[in-house]
Amino acid sequence: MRFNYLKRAVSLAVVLSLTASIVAACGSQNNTSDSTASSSQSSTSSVASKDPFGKYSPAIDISFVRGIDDDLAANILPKTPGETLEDNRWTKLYQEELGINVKYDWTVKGNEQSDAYTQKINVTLASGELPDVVLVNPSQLKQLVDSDMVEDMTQYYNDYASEDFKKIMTEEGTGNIDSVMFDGKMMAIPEPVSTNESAQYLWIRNDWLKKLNLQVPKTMDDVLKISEAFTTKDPDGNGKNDTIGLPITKDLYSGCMGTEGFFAGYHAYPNMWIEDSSGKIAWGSTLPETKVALQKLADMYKNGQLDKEFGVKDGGKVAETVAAGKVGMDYGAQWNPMYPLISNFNNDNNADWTAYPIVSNDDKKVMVPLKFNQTRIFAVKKGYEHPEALVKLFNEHVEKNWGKTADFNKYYMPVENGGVGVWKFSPVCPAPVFKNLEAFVAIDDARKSNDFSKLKDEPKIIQGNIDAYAKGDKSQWGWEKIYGKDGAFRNMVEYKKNDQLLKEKFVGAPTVTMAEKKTTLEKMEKEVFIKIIMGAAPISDFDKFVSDWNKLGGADMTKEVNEWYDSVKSK
Amino acid sequence: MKRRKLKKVSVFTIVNNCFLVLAALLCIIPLIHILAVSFSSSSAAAAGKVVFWPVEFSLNSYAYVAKRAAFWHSMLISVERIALGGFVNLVLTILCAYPLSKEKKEFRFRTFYAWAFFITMLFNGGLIPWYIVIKQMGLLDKIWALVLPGAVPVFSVILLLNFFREIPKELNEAAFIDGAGHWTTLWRVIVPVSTPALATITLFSLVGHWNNWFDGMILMNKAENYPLQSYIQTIVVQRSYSMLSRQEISELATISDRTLRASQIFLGTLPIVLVYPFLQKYFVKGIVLGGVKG
Repeated sequence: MRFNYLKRAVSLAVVLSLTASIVAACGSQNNTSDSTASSSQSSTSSVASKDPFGKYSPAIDISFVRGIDDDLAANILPKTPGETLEDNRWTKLYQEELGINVKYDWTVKGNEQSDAYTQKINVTLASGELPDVVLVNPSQLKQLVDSDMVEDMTQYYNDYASEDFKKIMTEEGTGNIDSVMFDGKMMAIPEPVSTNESAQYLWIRNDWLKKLNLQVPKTMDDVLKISEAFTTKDPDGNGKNDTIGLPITKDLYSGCMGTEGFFAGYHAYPNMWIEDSSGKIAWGSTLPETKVALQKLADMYKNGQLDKEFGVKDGGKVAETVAAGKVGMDYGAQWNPMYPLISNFNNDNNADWTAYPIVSNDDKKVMVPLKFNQTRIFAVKKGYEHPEALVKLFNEHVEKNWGKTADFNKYYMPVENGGVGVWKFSPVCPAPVFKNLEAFVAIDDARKSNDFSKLKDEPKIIQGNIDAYAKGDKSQWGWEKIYGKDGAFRNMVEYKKNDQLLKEKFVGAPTVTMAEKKTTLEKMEKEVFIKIIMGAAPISDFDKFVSDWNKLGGADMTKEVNEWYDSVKSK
Repeated sequence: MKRRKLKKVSVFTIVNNCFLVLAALLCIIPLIHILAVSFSSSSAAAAGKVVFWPVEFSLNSYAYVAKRAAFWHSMLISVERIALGGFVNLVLTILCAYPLSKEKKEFRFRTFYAWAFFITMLFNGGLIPWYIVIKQMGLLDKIWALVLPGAVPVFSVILLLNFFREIPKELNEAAFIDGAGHWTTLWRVIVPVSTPALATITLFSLVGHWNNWFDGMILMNKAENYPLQSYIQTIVVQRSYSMLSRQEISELATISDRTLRASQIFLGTLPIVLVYPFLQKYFVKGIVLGGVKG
């Protein structure tokens, strides 16, 4: 018996030690491969001095992670036979001209704002297994900086960024650089945000206006009247009381079916940091103007002009209401004809949507709020041998699309591949922030002189889409609505000319309190506002919200933001 | 006679049946809706006109899915996964349950081992350690990453070991007297009389493997390696429309329409729905028999 136990004990010990040695072997194997990789890298670092386009010889490797969005998966890849994510015209270009081999540690299906990407990036960050360059959002960048995992890019950006790239970065203000600044150091390279793209317009169905003998709105009172008429006067002519005045979602602030343009009509700018009357920075949602606009929305809700159930409907759900032809007004960005308005047009070819400028409730000029939101930031892993390689990729992308040696038709939207956006093959995609507006102006000039022959690059492709629509290709409807004769961008030209753009004042990296409290406060704000609009809470609850907001961290946030603002202003 | 039969229907039966019918409807209605949407025209579906019957009947979405290689590739991976996963689960469950079903005098450390298994049901290492372990094992991006981490489903082990205990001891004893060892007894005597329980745990593991999307998303480094449910998860996620990047704006025009999503969801559930009826007759029996004794 005893012997038997001994035998068992020995066999158990053998099994345990075997397992341990296997695990150890796995671990050590990894270590050795890591060290060989890094030593081979260090031996290759022979580069000409600080040339923004200098080529590495021999070539170096740079690893990224990325999401593959639907455009890439269902549109671009099928139409570019022979090219893959790892081997395409952009990776070849980077290889041949810069000596940089782009690799991907992993990819996920879905764009970089998707849940899939966020989950995957979170486990990657937590396990500390970073790729050479990681695409993150501001709060993730803050985590990385706080735990000292990324390179300081200040010097690399100053030394290596090309003139064109630097110009794009600061064209719309200092926001792009400020958003990655920590203690005066630039800790990452962001893709320049184009805030003017998020400017809101008032999209209205012209055919409904005509039918009910209404004029294009000049003031907020007109908007309210149109909303009432669209609700009560049966604009779709089906004899049923089934239309609503204004579609809004449970998110309240949204690029389509949003409310920002409505609030702005009452000089209220919720959900962003603006200067209040005293010159201090304040959170727009807490200012008294917001209360006025909320009261108007609550009145509209009471009169049946808003969807009774908007408080539980997300954008996708409200888009169904639009597609079904139940609405004739929509506050949204320039891209709204691409989604969701085209679904309405597909169901009813009479739906004639046009973008009008947002209007004011008095004779004070209406300002168009432009929130700053940086979502695509590239951080370099601490210890990576060639941090400047990332800057060079940015330089090259700008150069080949918009620079002197640009080959737009090869690297941006090649006509022979059906005009798909092959620029997405590149891991970094900086673009001039006003390029769409400039495209509209170019097309508009050509229209005026009736000479389209001079158009090239993007404007030419866009004009091609507009022509296709004129010839009966209904799927190109959106292009006509955005860049056509009465296109949305005409209003942007006006906005700019009249100096109506109101940029968010705080564009820095998230502050300490923001990292902790911002999400909670935003959630509370939406809950309270939706309750007020739905009449579940009296308008006086707004004042309680403001004091709660301040108590729960808002006051600290405001203080930090103002300190940041003073430090930037003094520079 | 007839009257008596009628009288037997009590209030409880009526209420109970109504309740069960309602519960059944709750399960089947979404599926019918998805099916109706998948057979409708995309404009009708986008406008939310479809309820339980297709509007403007169309097979376009199925024609499109048929051409979508990524969908079928994912389905193939899922099939591979349930084949491997189902087999590994079944074998290891049997091998775990058999010794644990023995009495303490036959298997001295039984309680210790039973607890060791049981504790893993209550506590787990958490997401990050789980990920790191699998990464260090070199399993990332391989089909085994979806199979090995859950190779021993403890719940099934407990179910099965209780079932084994119900089997009359005389069967075992007879086998031993005839000269069979533990291996022979297990495979030639115990397993053949346990089909209901085995069918049940197989069904559990098949459904579990088929439906699990999260591990596929986290553990696969390339979208080509997604099993079907991870693939479907990425097409049904909700989007936020506040503050879109340039990349997202260019993606808007390709937002896959509802009919397409519906047809892929439906095709994705179909295989498991088809398997169910064949295993169901064992299902009830297996659960009840295995669950009586604690």
